[in-house]
Amino acid sequence: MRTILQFLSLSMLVLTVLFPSLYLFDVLGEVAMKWALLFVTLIWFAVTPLWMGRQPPATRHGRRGS
Amino acid sequence: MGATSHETRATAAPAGSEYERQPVPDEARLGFKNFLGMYAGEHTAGTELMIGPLFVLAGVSAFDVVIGLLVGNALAVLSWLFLTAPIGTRARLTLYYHLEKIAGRYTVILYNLANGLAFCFLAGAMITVSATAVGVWFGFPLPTLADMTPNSIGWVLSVLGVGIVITIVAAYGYRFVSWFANIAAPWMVLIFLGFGIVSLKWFIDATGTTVASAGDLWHLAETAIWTGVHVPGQPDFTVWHVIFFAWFANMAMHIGMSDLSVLRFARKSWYSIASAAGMYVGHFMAWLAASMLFAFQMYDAGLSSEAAVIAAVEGGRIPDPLPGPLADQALGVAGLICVIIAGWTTANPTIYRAGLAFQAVIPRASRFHVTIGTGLLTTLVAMFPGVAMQLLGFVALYGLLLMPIGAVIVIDYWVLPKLGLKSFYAEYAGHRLTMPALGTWLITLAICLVLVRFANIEIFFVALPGWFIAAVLFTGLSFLAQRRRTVPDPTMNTATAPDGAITTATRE
Repeated sequence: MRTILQFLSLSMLVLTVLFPSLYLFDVLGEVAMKWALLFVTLIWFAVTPLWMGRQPPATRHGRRGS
Repeated sequence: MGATSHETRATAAPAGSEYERQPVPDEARLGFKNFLGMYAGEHTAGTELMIGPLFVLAGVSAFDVVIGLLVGNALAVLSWLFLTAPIGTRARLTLYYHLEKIAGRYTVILYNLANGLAFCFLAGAMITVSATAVGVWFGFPLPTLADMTPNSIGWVLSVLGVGIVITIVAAYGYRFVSWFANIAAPWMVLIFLGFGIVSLKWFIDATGTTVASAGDLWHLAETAIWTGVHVPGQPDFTVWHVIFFAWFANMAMHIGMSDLSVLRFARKSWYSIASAAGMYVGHFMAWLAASMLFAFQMYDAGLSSEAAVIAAVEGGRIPDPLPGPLADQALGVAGLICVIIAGWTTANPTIYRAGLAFQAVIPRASRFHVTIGTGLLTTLVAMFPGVAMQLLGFVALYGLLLMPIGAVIVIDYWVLPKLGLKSFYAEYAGHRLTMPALGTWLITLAICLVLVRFANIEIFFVALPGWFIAAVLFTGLSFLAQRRRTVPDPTMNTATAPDGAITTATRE
């Protein structure tokens, strides 16, 4: 199950780059690209929390930004 | 990090301890992948969406921004590699405990106060970024480039809403946000890449260019994307500005030594090279992508010549570098979600850290109340868009503020023992405040401000001479302070503290 979820997450990451690239090469229209990215985003946030664990101690305080 | 929130002095750390007052033991040390993941994810933040557009307003050319970021980020990585990590992996102490040993507890409190205030402004800019995305949905007037104060009741309510949610989460569910941020990071990095790809498509269509080679792409970058046209009233950047800005954007973390707290967990010093992942993803790709988004707004408005830009400034027609509308235009709702999450997941830990820093100043106050107070202060800062619009200068000031402490730590660790002087002098002498450290900090900042004010050295550059000034000052002041006291213990590698604790920092 975990492997399937990880594969799904990885696929969403690939699609996150693929859809804008298809738009770049005129394969996909702008509106379709935006809807596709929203769909990919929703799937990513639905699936990834099911398998991605918590951070190790050194990185436990979260992202620090710039 | 957050070392001052706990007072664990036990020799054996309890379960879940982060070794805040003892060196990290062998069994708690981490491998390279941990640092690669951490650095790669954490430097793609809401503020990148402000910094990229501000580069365009500062008139960078394609050469300036590409070469400047390549070189500046390399210098930042080298700073982590040769300044921070060697001390972090030898002493294996948090910055706070390390500084307490050198300069005393009161100096750490002052450091916390300065750091906490700086965090409030940084988190404020992140909330500002998120609020611009909320504005797209609700349709109220967003701040313009010239606005220093709130420009509409809608803006105030939006910032207040975002700020209160972030503050409450920081006070109650901080661990959840940390976990969520980890999940969002890979997606967010690729959404930033998407911003760049989509804006490249816009430029290709608008200019009618055919990009068949790298040369064509570079020609497009030079003639349409980063044209080098400076907007009056904004900082005027050359390649040197970009190099120094990229180098010093995280100065507090590398030269300022704040990442001692992170790298003390690294098994090997060279693991700090993982910072390159953060720099070249967040401070190269993300900055370029964000700047391309805004550069197209300028190009689309016909602002690619000096004359057109001057006329637009006089007519108040310069596009506003607002991340929300820019992201919406490029990637739609997914872009807006990215802006909100990028701001939220970085503002949240920043508010949490600022709260911890302030709590160290008032230890009797509860962390919950201090975090709520800190969050409200940050929200107040976020209402003033001038902070985010002037982010380039603020980031430089933030690094400068904490830089002298980094110089103090380097000199104390490497140079003082070679001069026959004592490292960790405050611990040795039982002082809660030492004049060499405090004097170095304040005098260096005063000299840097004089250099900026009267010697026309811009704030983006002054930290470099400032570091050497701090190094010389700390060496001299330490010599003067320690000469007055007979040092009975000639060994440099171990020191007996007044309370009997043995420091375990060693030179390798």
